[in-house]
Order: sequence, then structure tokens, then C-alpha cells
Amino acid sequence: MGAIERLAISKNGFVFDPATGNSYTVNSTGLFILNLLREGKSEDEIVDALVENFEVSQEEARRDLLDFLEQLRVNGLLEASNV
Amino acid sequence: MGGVKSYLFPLLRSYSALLFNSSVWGGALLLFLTFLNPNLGIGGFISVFSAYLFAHLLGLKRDFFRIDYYIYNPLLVGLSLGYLFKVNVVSLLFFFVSGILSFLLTYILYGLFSYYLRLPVLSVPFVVGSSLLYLSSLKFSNLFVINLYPKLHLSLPFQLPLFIDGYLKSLGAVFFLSNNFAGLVIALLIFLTSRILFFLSVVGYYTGTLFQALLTGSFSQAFSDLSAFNYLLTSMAVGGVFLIPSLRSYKFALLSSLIAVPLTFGAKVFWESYGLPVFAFPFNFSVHMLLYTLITIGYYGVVSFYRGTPERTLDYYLTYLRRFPSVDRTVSLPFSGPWTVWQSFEGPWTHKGLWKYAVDFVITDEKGKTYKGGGYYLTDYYAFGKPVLSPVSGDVVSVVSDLPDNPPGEADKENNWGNYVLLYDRRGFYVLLCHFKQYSIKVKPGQFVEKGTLLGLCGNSGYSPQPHIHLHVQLYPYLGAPTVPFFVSSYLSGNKFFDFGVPKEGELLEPVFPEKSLLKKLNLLIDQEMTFTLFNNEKELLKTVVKMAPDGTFYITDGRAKLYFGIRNSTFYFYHLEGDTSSPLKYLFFSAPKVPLISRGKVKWEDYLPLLSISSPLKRELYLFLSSFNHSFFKVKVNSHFKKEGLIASTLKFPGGKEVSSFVKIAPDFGFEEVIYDNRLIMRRKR
Amino acid sequence: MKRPYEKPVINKLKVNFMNKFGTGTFSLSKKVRKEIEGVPVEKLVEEFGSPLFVFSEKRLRQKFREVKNAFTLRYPNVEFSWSYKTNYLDAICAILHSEGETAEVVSEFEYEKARRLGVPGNKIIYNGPYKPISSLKTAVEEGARINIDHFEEISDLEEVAKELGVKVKVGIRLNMDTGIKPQWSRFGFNLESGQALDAVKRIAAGGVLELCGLHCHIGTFILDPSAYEKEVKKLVDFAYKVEDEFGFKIEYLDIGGGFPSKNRLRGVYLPPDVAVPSIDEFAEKICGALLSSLRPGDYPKLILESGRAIVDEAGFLITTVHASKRMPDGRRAYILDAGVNVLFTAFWYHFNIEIDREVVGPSEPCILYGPLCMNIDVVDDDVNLPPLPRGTKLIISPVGAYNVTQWMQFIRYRPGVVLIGENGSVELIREAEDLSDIVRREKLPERLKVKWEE
Repeated sequence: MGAIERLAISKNGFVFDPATGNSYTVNSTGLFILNLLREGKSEDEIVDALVENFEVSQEEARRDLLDFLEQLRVNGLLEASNV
Repeated sequence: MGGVKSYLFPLLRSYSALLFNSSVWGGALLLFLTFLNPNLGIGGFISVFSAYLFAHLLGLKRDFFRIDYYIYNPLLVGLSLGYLFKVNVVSLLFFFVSGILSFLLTYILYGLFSYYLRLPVLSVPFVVGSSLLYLSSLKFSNLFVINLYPKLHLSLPFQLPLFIDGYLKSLGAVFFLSNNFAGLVIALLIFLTSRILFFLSVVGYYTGTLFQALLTGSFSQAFSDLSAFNYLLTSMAVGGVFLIPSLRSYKFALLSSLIAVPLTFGAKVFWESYGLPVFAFPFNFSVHMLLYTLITIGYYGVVSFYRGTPERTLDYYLTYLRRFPSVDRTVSLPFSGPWTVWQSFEGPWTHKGLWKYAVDFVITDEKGKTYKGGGYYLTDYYAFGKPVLSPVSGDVVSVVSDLPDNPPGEADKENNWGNYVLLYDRRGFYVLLCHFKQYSIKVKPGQFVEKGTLLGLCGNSGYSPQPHIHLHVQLYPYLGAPTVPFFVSSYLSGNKFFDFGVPKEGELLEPVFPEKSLLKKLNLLIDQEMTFTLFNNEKELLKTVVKMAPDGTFYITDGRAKLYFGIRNSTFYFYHLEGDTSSPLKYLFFSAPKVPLISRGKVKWEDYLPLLSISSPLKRELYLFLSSFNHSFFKVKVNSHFKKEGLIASTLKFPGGKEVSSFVKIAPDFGFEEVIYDNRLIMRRKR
Repeated sequence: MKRPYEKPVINKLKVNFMNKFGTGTFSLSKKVRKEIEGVPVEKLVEEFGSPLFVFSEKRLRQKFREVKNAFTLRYPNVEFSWSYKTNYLDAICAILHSEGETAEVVSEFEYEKARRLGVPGNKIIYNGPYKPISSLKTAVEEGARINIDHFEEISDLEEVAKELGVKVKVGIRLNMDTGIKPQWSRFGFNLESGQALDAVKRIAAGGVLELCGLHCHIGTFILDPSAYEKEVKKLVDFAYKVEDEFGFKIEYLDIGGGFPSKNRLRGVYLPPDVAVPSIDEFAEKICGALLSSLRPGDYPKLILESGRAIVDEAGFLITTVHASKRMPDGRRAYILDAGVNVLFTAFWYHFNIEIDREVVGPSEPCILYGPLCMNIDVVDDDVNLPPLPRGTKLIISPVGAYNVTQWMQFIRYRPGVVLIGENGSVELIREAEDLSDIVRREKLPERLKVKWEE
């Protein structure tokens, strides 16, 4: 839980954080992951979901998920330890 | 011994000069013939001797031996007196005084003829001198009575038909030796020296005598008339000595022999009324008339330097004409690097009518296009902005530099020459370069520019649809003057070097500037010595040294012959060989008659050699004789190329199909290192 | 139905000022190159591995002709001498020699390499501050043109000349002030201080050497054509002074090289198309200065030792993305299989980086690291790239100059080099190295052989 819940996320990929006033854009994959995070899914679950829905391999999906989470952390949208 | 040679040779040569050649042996033979009648020989000799002493007194000793007419006129006078009078103290004194008189006459008459008429004096002093002396001797009864003697008759042991006899006797009459033995010897002498002179003497004699026979009605009288020698001398002089031997000169010879006939008879009326023979008056008069006319009208065939025999003169002229088609009106390419000829003489677009002798140059790429990209901008055109260099050394006459450059495809029809530079070359013509870039011309009227100086940049001003350089030659200093043909000198077309040529449409040309290191090696200086070893059948030493002739030209000499050379327009030339042709210097001449001063890649070129290069004397003389009838019959063509830097390989093609290979290696310091001609090797000795 | 996959990306929007590349998800600087001279990059890597240097014969010849024409169409006596130190691969040198270039070498090994390739001695220009006397002797015997760097070299050459019993034609190198900073004053004899004239006096006094040429090389990657103009004027003035006072004939003026290529120098703001003058501008200044300073009718040979300007743009390097990292400051970094060990010139330039495939996704500033575990191994610290999957090939250019001569035998094997011919053929002109290349010259003393205890 945390900042993710408070984000305002539009279907087009616009993200607004009322706490900081910062706006962000995400692409479709990023949006997909954000929504899953909001539902409280774990990393493994998200990876499986990615593989199921996108043309991507397990390894790449896991790798990219970790990287995306890092990006969220850098932007202050996720705490250091999560899920 | 050398001292005697310097006196003897000029004397012998002056005997030969009466037969229009300068052979020493021929002269010796003639001298011997005159001594068959000792009075004749001595008369001639004393006369020459006294003339020499007088010249020495005047301080003209050296000129005396240099100039043949100073010797042969006194000689002829002496011979004419020796013909009349036999030798004793009185006549010797008479001969002596006549020598002095002859010299003075020659000196004065030469001055008058050359200054007022610009003609050679020939044997006019002899005619005047002998006439005066014969006249005076009529009054010298002492001389007359004691010294006249009956004529000796030396004659051949067999009977000859009259027409041949007459010819031989007339030949002899030139030397006052009116017998057919002397005539036969002289005829043989002429034949051996020059077939052309022999042919002319025969044609002249028979033309004259037949005409005379027709007019007088008697053949036998014509053939016995000794003054017919005038006809053959006239023919020889006109046909082979003063004009370059050719079908036309032969026609002139024939015609002048005809003229000589009435001249002889008219003169005879006067001369014989005083008891004098007409001497060589008709010969002198007819030759002078013809020469004066031909020289004044500027007839191209007049010989400017007679090279000893008509054959050698002919060879020299034919070779010179083939090698140097034009000495005036040559320009070099006005740019650097390879450019393409867009339009040349009588080109299909604008080079027509009065302006047909012009050339346009552009730069093309490998696809043949003159621009890169779409060609929408002037800067896309390769030629735009490139330096234009001066094609001649000359004075800048006028310049226009401020017209704008047209965009590609457009042309300024009002100022169709655009920005231009008009130059005056002091050889007597103007050169116009057009279509310069606006404000890019760097020279001003009144300035003198050397060949190759930067004039400005190529542009697109005036009537110019695409950037190009326009070049033409005209004879008047105004724009729009009619153009005249010209040659371009020193350029490469592909890998072939041309020292003179006319650019052809579509040709890719590049100017050649002399390579400094090669120029230094071949710019031979006075007193530079080159010593070679000649490997023929045995080893022979060949020592040569460079000297300068009085007219400023340079030659290499080994004491036997002189090989003239020079550097002109980025090329080293051997011009011609003079003197003893058995000298091995000829191999140097034949192996590399010209060397372009470039040291780049496999460049090849062509040249011609005189027929002198034909090794068999029989063939050579035959070809030369036949060449006089048609100048393009026989050629010796040389194809040369740089095998590698400093090494030239040539192939000589002789008429008749024979081919000879030769190599020349240029020395690393100066001059030549090695020459191989056919199977002869000439190597420079270590220094 | 699975959707096509894009790596997840989140981008912070900067409200106060616009991102230079707009707010869109696609940036302008994405460059894709699927083939080099018509040969697919994938096929090249498949056959020859990665990393791989790729040279284009067509580009090389075209560029050379462009450079050559710029000069020959402005000055009538020009020689191009290929600077071996820029790229001494046999194939590259052979191509340039076939275009008419002679060889310019600066060491015994380069000299030997040129001779081995078949270049005749008299077509070699031998420069450099270090020329051992044995190498000078060979050069003199074979007719090479030597440009002298210092006084000891004059003595060495005189010794050789006396030994061989010949008079040797030589040139001297000068250095001078042309406005370029830093002035390269360590090579040759200084002009302004009079040292150059002393060298000429020394040569004249010795009597066994003949001065016939002047050499000067003012710097590298010079962006100001007027520096060359000054160089030429000073050279010509000095040449005439030498000719007039000592009687030597100066047959050539070698102005070296130093012309730039369209590479982007670090520290220069403007893109190379604007910052780098064209070779025509250099030629105009140089030839213009020559034609106006030379005496009429005098056309000494102008020698140009250009290297980089001719070969740089003909060379590419294909490298593969091995891994990606996210740096603590948020920037993305990629680890490539080629670094400064093969791209020495990375220290000087921002290369042109192209990707071998279309990658969907917004670009972000990335760092490109090489494979070495050395902190300085950075190919570029700021390149805008979209998120690249592992295995993506990057094509780096122009790398034709200096990289295949200054590459290190360090940490990784040196890669192979291929040449794409004018007709599209692909030929290997240098094999990739393997262990044998590393150990070939090593000798292990017997006593040091390691015995492992079990």
C-alpha cells in the first residue's frame, strides 16, 4: 500500500500524484502493471499476468518489472521495501 | 695542325658553296680540278689569298673565314682571270689586286643588298668585279699580249651525244672548266652530295636549253652555249636552296630557268658588245627577282636557315612542322586538375560563325554530371568557385568584374561575355576568358601576369547556363572581335601527353606544370659535362659538354656534332643535330626526342624524328628525295612512355615497317644516365 | 490474443519548461540502421560475431576522391600521402594506394609494413621524431623521402650518407605559430626562433645532404581553415629564403594533415554539420594562399598527409547490448561488448549511435558503458535511446580513424574487421584475436611453472 493508492490514474496513461503535485505519463505496459499493483498483486503474480497478456518471455517480464518498480521508487511512488 | 684546318676548311667549303653545299671533300676535289689548269687554280688561290690579307688588314680576319661569300666571290674573280691569263709576275700582281678589289666589292654590295633589298648577295660581286677587270684588261696590252694562252682541252676519251656533252661542259663552266671531264666529275660530285640538287641541275639545264633552242631555232647551238650554266644554277638555287624542296619549289625552279633564257640573251647583247662574257649575271638576276617577290609576299616556303644540302633542310623543316605545328598562338589550359571540354571549335551550341574558335570547360564527376545533388544551386556545380589561371604570360587589357552570377539554367543575354579578363600576349594576339564569378577577379588592367597566375574564380555570369570557363583567342582588343584558331600546349588527355593540340568535345584534359625536380635535372647549363662510355663493338669514350650558340640556343657537343636542345612549355626537347652525323650524340637524340616534365604514372606521348634517323644512308637519301615531291610520304614516328619514374621507353617506327626500341634513363643529379638505342648502350661514367 | 509488448516506462512531466524533445512519447533522435551499404547488420554479426568493425570501400574511395578533387582542382601539383598511423590495415592502405596515394609512415614498423605491402621506397614519406639509424639507412637506400625532426637526426643522416657514398635529398620539419592553441612545438625545428634557419645552415655546412622539401603538421582536428593559410604563407616565405640564400631547390611543401571529419567533438556545442568546415573550405584557403604567395611559374609539389578526413566516415563499429542497469540517479545505462578498449576515440567524440531495429517506446538519456571493469570505460555518457532489449545491436560511427591502430589488447580480445566492397561483397580483412595472439610472445621461465597442490 502506500502512494500507489492515492495516485489518480487515467485510462490514457496520465498519472497525477496529489501529494506532490507531480504528473507522470505511463505507457500501456506501465499502466497495466500500475493497475495490478493497486489491486495488491505480488511480483510473481504480476509477472505471470504479463506473460499471459503480452508477447514477452518470463525472464524479460521479470527483469522489466523489477526495473519499473525501481523507476517508481526513484520517483517516490513506492517505498523502499514493498510487496 | 688545327691551325691549318681552320684556314683550309673554310677555303675548301667555299669551293663547294658554288654548288650550294659545304662539303670539305667536295671542295678539295673541286680545288684539284681547278689545278688541272694550273693558271686557273693559281689565279683563284692568289685572289682568295689577297682578299684574306686585305680582310686581315681591315681587322675582319675572323669574319672572312666565317662568311662564304667573302671567299667565293674573290675565288670566282680569280678563276675568271686565270682562265684568260697565264701565270707570271705581271699576272700574279694582277690577280693579287683583283682579290682586293673583289673583297671591297663584296663587302659593299653585301651591305647594299642586305639593307635595301634584304636579299643575299649571291655572286653579284663576281659578276661586277670580273666584268670590270675584263674591261680593264682590254687596255692592259702588256698583260694581254704576254699572258693569253690557248685553252687546254681536257676531254673524256669517248664521244658523248651533244645534249649530254653540253650539260657536262656547262657544269664545268661554273668553275671556268669548260671540258666534259671536269663536268662529269662535278656531276658525280653533285649527285653524291644531293640528289635533289642533281635533279634540279638536270631539269634546269634542259628546260633552259630547250627553250633557248625553240627560240633560236638551233638545238646544237643551244647545247654548245656555255652560258647555259646559268639555267642550271638558277634551278638549283630556286628549287632546292632558297625554297624548301617541294613540288611547288620545283615548279618555281622550272619557271625561273625559263626566265633566265631571255635574261641571258638580253644581257649578252650588252656584255658581248664590250667583248665580255655574261658571267653569272642571268643566274643572279633571276634568282634575286624571284626571291625578292617571294620574301615580300611572305611565302611560307622560303628557307630561313639552309642546312648544308636541300635534303637536310627539307628534313629539318618537315620534322619541325610535324613536331611544332604552331609556335604562335599557343595557350595553356586556364585551370588546375582534370576538367572536361563541354564545347570546342565549331561547337553545336554557341561556337559558330565569327566566334567558332572557342572552348568551354566544365568539371564532371564519374557519372558525367557537372553538378552534385539536384543542381538547383550554383554551389552544387563542381566548376563554380574554382580558380581560373592565366593561360599565357601577358598584359591585362580590360576587366569586368561586377556582373551577377545567374542561377543555374538562366543566362544573361545582354552582357553575354559576363565578367571577363582580356589579356594581350606579346606574340601578337589577345586571349579572352569569360563568365567569372562576381567580384572574384583579382587582376587589374595594365598589370602584367605570368602564365599560371590566379585571375579569378569560375562563375556563371553572362550567357552561361551552367558554370564554365570560356576561352578564345582574337586578334583585336574589343569584345566581339572574330576569333582565330589556336593550340593548347602541355596537357594530358587521359594518360597521353600533348605538347600541342586542339581540345575535342567531351575530352577530359589536365594541364601539365613542369615537375620541379625533373626540370632541375634536364635544365642543362653551360659547361656542364657528361662523360659516357659507348658500348658498340668496342668501348668508346664519349665526352660531351653544354655550350650556347650565338643566337642564344643551347647544344650538347662532343666536338664532332652539335645536338641542340631546349625546354619549352613543360617539355624538354632535342631540336636537331648538326655536324658529323656519325657522332653517337645522335643516339641520344633518337632515343628521347622529347621528354615531358612530369613524373607521374604511365604517361605516353608521340613525336617525330627527322629521316636522318634512318640508319641506311641509301634508304635515307632515297626517302628524302622522294619526300620533296610529297611532304607526307615518309615519317619516322616515335611512341614513348614513362616505364617508371625517370625511365623512358620508346618505339621508333620507320617507313617500310622497321621498328627500333630505345630506352633513356635520367640521371639522379643532372642529365642522362643511360641510353639504349636498338642494341647500342651508352652509359654515364661514375663521377 | 496477446498484445505486442513494450517495456514499461514512467516519465515525469516537467511543467515549468518544455522537454527539449517535446512531451510526446517518441523523440526525434531515434536513429535506426538495419544495414550498412546494403548488407544487413544481423547477417554481419551472425557471420563475423560482435563487436565488429565494418569498413565501406565505396565510402572510402568516394571520400578520398572528394578530398583529392578539392585540392587538385585548385592547385596543379598535389600529392596525397596516406597517413599509416590513422589506419594501417593492409586492405585500407591497398585501396588508398590504388587511388594513387603514396605512404606516410612515422616509425620503423610502419615503414616495414608499407614495404611489405609492396610500396616502393621512393613512394614512402618517413616522418617522426624517433628514427633509429639502421632504419634511416634502409630508408636512404630505398629512396624514401625523409623529413628531419631534430639536429641529431641531421648528424645521423650525414653518417649514413657518408657510409653509402651518396648525397641524400631530405626535408625538414618546421613548427610555427598559426594561431592554433596549443601550438605543437615539440616536433621539428621552430620557425620563429630562427632554429629552422640554423638547421638549414647546418645542412648546407655538412655538404652531404641536400634540402629539397619542407614539412609541417600544425595539429589535429583543426576547425579553422585560416590556420592553414598562415602555415602555407610562412612555409612559402621560408622556402624562398632558403632557395635564395642557400641555393637549395625546394621541390615539395608537405603541410601534413589535421583536417577534421564529421565527428562530434566533446565540448563543441554545435552539431558537426555546422561546426566542421568542409574540405573545400580548407582547400580554398590553402590553394589560394599558395597561388598568391608563390613566384610565377613555380609550382612546388603540395603534399597532404590527410588521414582522418578520408577514412573516419568509412568505418562503423557494430556492438551488442549485453545488459542494462538503472543508475541511482535514475538514468538508464547499458553495458556493451565494446568499450574504450576498441574505441579509443571515444575519449574525444560523441559518436553517432544508431539502433539496428525499430524500438517502440520513448527515448531517455542513457549512459553507454563498455565491457571493461575500469571506471573510465564509457563510450558515451549522454545518448537518447528508447528502452533497448538485450541483444540489440548498436552501430557506432564514424570510427574509421585511429581506432584500429590505437585499440588495446586489454581485457577482451580485439574484434574482427570486415570490408564491404563496392559490389556489396563482404570480406574479412582482419580476424578477431584469440588467446594465441595474447600469449604468442610470452615465455614462462621453467622455474615459475605453477604446481597446484590437491
